[in-house]
Amino acid sequence: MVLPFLVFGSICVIFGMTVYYFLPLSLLTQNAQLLLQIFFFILLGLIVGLTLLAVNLRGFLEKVLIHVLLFWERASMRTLVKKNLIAHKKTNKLTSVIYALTLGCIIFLIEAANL
Amino acid sequence: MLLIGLVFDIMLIMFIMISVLLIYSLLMITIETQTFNTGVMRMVGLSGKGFVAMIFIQAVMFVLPSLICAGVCVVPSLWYIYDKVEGTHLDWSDELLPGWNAVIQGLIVGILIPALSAIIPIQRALSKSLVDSLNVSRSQTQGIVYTI
Repeated sequence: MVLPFLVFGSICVIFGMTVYYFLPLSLLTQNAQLLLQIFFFILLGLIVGLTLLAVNLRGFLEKVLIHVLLFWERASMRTLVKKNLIAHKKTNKLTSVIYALTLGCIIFLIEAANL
Repeated sequence: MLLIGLVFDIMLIMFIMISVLLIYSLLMITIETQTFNTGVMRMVGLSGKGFVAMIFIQAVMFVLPSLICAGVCVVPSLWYIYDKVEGTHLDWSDELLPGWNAVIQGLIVGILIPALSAIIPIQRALSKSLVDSLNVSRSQTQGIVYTI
């Protein structure tokens, strides 16, 4: 499938053009509107990118939580819980993405209110 | 003033993203659990278009209460904002009604969210074969992950 590569490539091209052309342009022409729009996209990219980065920790966190919270259980029980978590991996992933996004949104709002 | 607009824009996009993901997950769960029911409906003769419309209406049903709530809440909240910001007590006037831009923007968001969140569930539900969805002897969730 070529589509993901194409999408990622075009995102990178747009990002490069914004940072190396439009950002200096807006500073030189003192165009606050354009500057803020670029700022807006960079902030959105930051939130989404950090969320996606944080989601990669999910599997590791699941294992750690199983060992910390179920340390008193037998090893077979832990294996069973692990297998169940794998069986529901898709929904767990989606829920963790939603949770991370919501948390990011709240933290962003608090910071924006503090500004 | 520009910065406040920026923050509001980011809030809007974030809320759209979160609600799309939420409705998407709700629809996915419904489709996973209702596989047998949809299989029976398709067996009896539900067309593809009818099936798509069914899922889309289900998505719209999640959004509809919020649209109605927004329509009800807009007048008191506008009155409150005028009261706090301008410090004037307004009687009933046209200024308390939202402008056309605001109404159209709200409606577009209200259609965009279910449309975006229904795409993948519809694809997933239509790609299932009728024999698989009518098979009750096998579990729909798989507990084994193959890595090659």
